[in-house]
Amino acid sequence: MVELLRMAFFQKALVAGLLIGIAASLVGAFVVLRRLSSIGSGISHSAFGGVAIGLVLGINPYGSALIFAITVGLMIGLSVRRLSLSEDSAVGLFFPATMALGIAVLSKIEGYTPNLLSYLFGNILLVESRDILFAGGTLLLILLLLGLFYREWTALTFDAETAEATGIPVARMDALFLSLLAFVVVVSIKVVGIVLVSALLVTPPLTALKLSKSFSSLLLFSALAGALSTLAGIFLSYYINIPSGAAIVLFSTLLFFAVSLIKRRE
Amino acid sequence: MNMPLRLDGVCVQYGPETVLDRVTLEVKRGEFLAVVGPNGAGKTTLLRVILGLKRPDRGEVEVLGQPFHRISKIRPLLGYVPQVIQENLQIPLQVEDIVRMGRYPRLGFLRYEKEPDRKAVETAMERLQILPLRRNLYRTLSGGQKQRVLVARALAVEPELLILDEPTTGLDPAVSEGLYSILTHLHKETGITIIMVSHDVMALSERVTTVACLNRSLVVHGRPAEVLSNENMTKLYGPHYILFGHGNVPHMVVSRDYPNHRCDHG
Repeated sequence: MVELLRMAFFQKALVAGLLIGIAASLVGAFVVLRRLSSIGSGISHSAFGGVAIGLVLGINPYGSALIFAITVGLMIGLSVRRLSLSEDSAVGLFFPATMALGIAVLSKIEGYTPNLLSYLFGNILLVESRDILFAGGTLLLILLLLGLFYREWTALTFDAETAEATGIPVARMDALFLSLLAFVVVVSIKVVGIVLVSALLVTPPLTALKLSKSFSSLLLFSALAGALSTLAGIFLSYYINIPSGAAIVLFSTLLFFAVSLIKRRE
Repeated sequence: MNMPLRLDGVCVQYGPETVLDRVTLEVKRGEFLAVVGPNGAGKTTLLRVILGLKRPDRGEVEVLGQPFHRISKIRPLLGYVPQVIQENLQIPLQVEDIVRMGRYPRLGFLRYEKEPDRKAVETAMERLQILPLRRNLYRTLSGGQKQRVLVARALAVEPELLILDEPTTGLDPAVSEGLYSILTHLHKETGITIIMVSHDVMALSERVTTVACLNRSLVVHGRPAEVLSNENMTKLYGPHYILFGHGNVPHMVVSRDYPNHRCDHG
């Protein structure tokens, strides 16, 4: 174990996992409470289209995925407001369309496929120093925005109609939140991959909901569950030799059921 | 001093359907107005127009002296109580957290709560008799307690105009009566202007200063004694409703020959 912790690639994996686990679960707390889980899933899958475009154009796929995910997140929000679509329907509209775009674009690259699995399922053991900086920057951004807009987001999570009626700019707050969600999704791709990123957003807050008696304790437990899941998942991934994304999601799900069982017995 | 509300010929259409038809209404400072009418009469649409959430197709709106396009400027002076059903009950918020939300529109950019903010929250909880519940989780409260919390949230803003949308929906008669008593006491003590949409025509007759009977257009508007007559109730609800006096309190019943013996007001 000590030897493992001395390895640079493992240290990087742990730091990135910790930062992203906390970041995703903090944003995820609002995702779960606002019943936006399907939007998280829709945005993460839309990132696939962005990755594909990045690969074809020869630019950083994470950069193109970020632009694409933010655009799709805002378009989902806009469709709900302006076209009176339900959130589920809007996600159902954009999710397959952006995946189809990704598949169509990738089919134009002759003989391409080798890197694709790492985008779809993540590979935290390939984390580089700049990924850690990016993850740290994202967590700082989340903490800053939470500090500034915690009240607005809580108020519109509790009762959006009254929040709007009493002067909270709901449309702007939603756009900001969806952009932040897209940001977190793209940063999390390296850890758990496009397919599993929604679990990182949803499962730790669900665990935290079982333990929380106030909103601040929900955020705290959510961050703790996210951090514990990513750290434990990375160790599991190394020792039983399975992909890191899968190990993190499986540990996180087991944690949820363990906490649920304990709380039921109390 | 500005008049709290002035509507002049307000029309609202949803597609081909006219929901509000040339509604002209004035509410003076210190007035306690009940807006009554059958289901689908446009009562909630009227509130949405007053709150600046629904732009009228024709007519003029003035709230606290501001025209419709400037209502966003005076929203922090409006207290709003929605119907019970629209809140997110999954969120682990304590009673005091929710009452404090009412104060958010009055906080500055850094959202720092000063002594007057804390005092306003305290006073609102005291008026609604929920101080002993301040640390309780909102979702564990009874229907009547929840509604008192929502009224306290609306009062925490120290509004110039308090707007309530069917605040006794789902409450039993005794709890409804308790809430009406608190509102009556608040009105007498502070002189606040109140607009309340309600189905509870008769229970309100002794408490409000004016009644507006709405059935897409304004049927009649005036003091309860002038408005609550058999003739007006027939215009409002149809010929199957009968109004009779019992002591000082009028009662409304539905006649036996009502089609299918329906017991709702619609």
